Amino acid sequence: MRTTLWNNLRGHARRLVATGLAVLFAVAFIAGTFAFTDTARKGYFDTYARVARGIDVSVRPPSGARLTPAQLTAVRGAPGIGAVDGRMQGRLALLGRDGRVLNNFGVAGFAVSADGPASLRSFDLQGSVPGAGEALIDAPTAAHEHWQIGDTVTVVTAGGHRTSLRLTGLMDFGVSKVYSGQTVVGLPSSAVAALTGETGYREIVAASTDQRGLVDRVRSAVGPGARVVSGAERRTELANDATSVATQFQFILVIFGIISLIVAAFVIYNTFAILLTQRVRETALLRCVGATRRQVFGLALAEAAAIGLVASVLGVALGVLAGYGLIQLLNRLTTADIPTAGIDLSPRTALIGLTVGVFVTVAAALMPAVRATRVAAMSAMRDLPSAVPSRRVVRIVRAVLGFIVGGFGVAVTVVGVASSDPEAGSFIVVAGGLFTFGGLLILAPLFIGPLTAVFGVLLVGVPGRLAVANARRNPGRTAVTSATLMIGIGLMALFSVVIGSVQRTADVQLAAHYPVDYVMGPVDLGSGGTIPASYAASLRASSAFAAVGEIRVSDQRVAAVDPGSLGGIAKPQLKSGRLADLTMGTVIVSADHPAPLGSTVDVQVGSSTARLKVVGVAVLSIPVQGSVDALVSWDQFTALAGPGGDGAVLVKAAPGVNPVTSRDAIDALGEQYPLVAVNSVADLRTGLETTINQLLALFGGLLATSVLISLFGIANTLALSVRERTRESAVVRALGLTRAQLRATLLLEALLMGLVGALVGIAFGLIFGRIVVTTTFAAIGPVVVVPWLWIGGLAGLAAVAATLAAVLPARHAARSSIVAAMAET
Amino acid sequence: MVTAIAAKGVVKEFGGGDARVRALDEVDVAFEAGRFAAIMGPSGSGKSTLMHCLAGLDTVDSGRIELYDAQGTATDLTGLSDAALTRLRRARIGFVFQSFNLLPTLTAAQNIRLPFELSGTKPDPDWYRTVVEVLGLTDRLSHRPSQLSGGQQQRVACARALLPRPDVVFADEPTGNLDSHAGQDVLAFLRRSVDEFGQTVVMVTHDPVAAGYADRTVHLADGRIVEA
Repeated sequence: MRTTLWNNLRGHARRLVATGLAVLFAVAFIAGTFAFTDTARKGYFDTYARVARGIDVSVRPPSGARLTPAQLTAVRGAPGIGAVDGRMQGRLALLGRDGRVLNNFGVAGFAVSADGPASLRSFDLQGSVPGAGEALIDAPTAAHEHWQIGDTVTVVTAGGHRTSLRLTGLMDFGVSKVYSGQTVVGLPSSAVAALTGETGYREIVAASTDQRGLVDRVRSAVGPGARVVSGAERRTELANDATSVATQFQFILVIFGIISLIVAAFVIYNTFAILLTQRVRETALLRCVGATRRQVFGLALAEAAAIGLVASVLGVALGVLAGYGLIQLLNRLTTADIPTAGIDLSPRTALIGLTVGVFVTVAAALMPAVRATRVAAMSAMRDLPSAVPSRRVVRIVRAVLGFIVGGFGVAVTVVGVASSDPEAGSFIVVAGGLFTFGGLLILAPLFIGPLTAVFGVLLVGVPGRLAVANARRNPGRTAVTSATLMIGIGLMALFSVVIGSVQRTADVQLAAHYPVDYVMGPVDLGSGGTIPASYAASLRASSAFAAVGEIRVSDQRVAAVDPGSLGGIAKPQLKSGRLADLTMGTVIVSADHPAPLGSTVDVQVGSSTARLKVVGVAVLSIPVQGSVDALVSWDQFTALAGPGGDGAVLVKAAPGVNPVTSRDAIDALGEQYPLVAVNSVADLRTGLETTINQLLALFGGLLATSVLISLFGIANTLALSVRERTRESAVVRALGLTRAQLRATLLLEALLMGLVGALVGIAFGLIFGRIVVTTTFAAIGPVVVVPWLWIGGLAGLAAVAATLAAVLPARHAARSSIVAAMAET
Repeated sequence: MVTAIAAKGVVKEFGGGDARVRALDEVDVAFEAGRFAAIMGPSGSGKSTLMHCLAGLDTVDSGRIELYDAQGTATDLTGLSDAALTRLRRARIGFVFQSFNLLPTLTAAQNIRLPFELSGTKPDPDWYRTVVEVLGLTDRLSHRPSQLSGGQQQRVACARALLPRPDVVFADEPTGNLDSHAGQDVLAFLRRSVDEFGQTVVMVTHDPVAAGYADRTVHLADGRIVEA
């Protein structure tokens, strides 16, 4: 049996190449995913080992609390303790060269204590330790603002008080993402306390000469409640925090890797199904000379395992390189700055890649192998059937099974759509979608044939007619080939609908309900600051603006709009009731937590509570501030909370005033109100659009592997079919089909398979994309858009790629000599 | 006598080096129009190779293959490009193969009309009806090859070969896969097509009974004509 296996592999090597490549790429994806995270994690770990150097023990307070000066003294007094540092940290806004607060998405930066012992510093210091009236700045911010040692910088406290400080040095935190992209000002501890109002320590770190029992000694010194860990543990924790992003990314990658594997499984299944059908005569011959069913079965599986193993080894190698390359690429394209410490090939990566590759290959070959064992010895004598009409029973079983699975999927989807909880609803819809798609895959051999005929009508001429006939000849084979593209293209279509609709809905929401040009919010200093009421008053004094609206927000739960703007530039989308009914004693509640009109609810603003009558239900999404639970009248809010600042200010430019003028008018106030973050709606929109396009490109890229594998499938199926039809091709050539026409026949057959698969996938994606969007955003009444440009591009891509996949088989078929081909059986 | 097709000094070799085999060795032979000729010879004599070269399916190493049209104008097949040769086969040469070689995806009628489909023309309806009736295929036209007997399939192949009224019909062991009764039907039909319709037929066979239907028999041995 071993010689037979070897000869089979050698004899069919060329026919198995495409299958091997399908496995290779799927395994490469999975292995690459793990290699990527391993490499990134190792790099982070190495960096953190350096950053948190010198620390032997770390003490942290329970979350939300601070460590006290008494506890600092206690650590200092514990036996065997060397240097000690109490680390303070608070929110502190830093003004840029343009006089505005440097912020990252509306969030201002930090102040940290920088006067601890040099050996325990969490940063590299370039310059000298700051004293009173002096400060350090993190290196990236200094580089961005072109600040140098000796320059003067200005910080703004939460109260709006400004302090000028002289720069004495720069802090380099390496790749630490603790202060992710925000400004960091290093100050003496006393200055941190004075400017931020912080009183205690976020962490106490210490060095020690005696490591044994160190953690216990420190723990008993600081008392209960505090978390005490060794320096090594602390470094691991930090590294794990930093890699959690990489881990999340890994999760997404693995899902896409599994999709690639499923597609590869289809390709493998098809290859073995076709190969073993073509080999019926050989198999029968083996049975004639005494091979048992078990031996025939074992032979097929051993062949699959051999291919799976070879392809997986190569796949792991390719994957590790790709994972490493991905990091380099990310570092070059983004500011991710993932540290690399060389390629990391862990045994786990290799093991997972090999196991998955071999397992999937063997599993996919199982069904064809079982079928091969049913070959009767008699078949050796008979002619090969060139077309395999599937038996009626098989078709009926397939139809019943397909409709059960698909029907279940549809039913689940309907339940999900009807669900009142949008979050649970969307999960149920996704599950329903999976089952529906499964049903579709099972039914594919039944409907792909007729569908091919429908599209085939478009193809004129003999090559077209022959292509349609050939594609319909083995519906199962064509269906599996098309299905692989159906998966990749269908998912791409679904994502494009969902992502496109989310963008459009956000756009329309803002434009319809808050038709303004600028949205101002308070710079986030961690304590929910407000914009002084005088700011809106100053804007109203300018002739550049047609309308200025104020929105007050309490604890991100209750909002109020000034009477002049409610229904004008701020008109929340009402589900029921009337805005006009919003007066003293009434409330409009969020559609997320609806209450019947006329009922009463308790509304808390600040420390006061009022019982108010519900007069409406609306979508309460406040610009800058996000969703709130209730909307009360301006007077009601003032009555409960007293006078105060705004959570958001909306500005609409006067007609005829160009954006530059209106922006200048707003910027003129920036000097006076540094803690106001200005967002132009146009900027928000382009920003959103860029993000959306990046997301689409990302998903497209991730699904590209599965599409690539589908193309190997198409090329493979065609190449095998061409072999099968060698003789037929020779006959039509003899009867007068030119080489070009024969090539065209095969290219058109591939085009049909690709197009049908893509279109079924797109149809599924469009329908489920719409359902997902409407279910998830049921409360808002989302705008569903179909990005036709993308969809058209996908269909075109599938058609072109499928045709390209057929180029080699077509060339092979057209080249072969008629006489030689006719001699073959 | 009008010549339909002729081979002049045709040489065809296979393989290279020590394994070189001369399949056709300076073959000169001409076939008359409107006659039924048989090429006979033992296995390996080169009779199939001669037919393939005459029909423009295979290339020759030297010599000429001349195909004459009704006006007596000769075309040298050896000088044509593959595309030109293909177009020529469509219109001027018909084939009947040993193993029928019908396309399994097409019905009998579609198989018969295939050469016209390929050239984008339509058959003469009267001639189509005559051919189908003479071959007894009238009630079999919508069947696929798998639903036809061997004899019926070969009759479909005959109809396909005759419908374009080619200058020459080549038949390669047309009875090889048929029982004697069905084989006689096919041979009788080829005979009739020569007698009644003036068709030129060249048949390769190693069966003396089949050759008996021909007007003339050419014998081939070791790549040479031994008796004409």
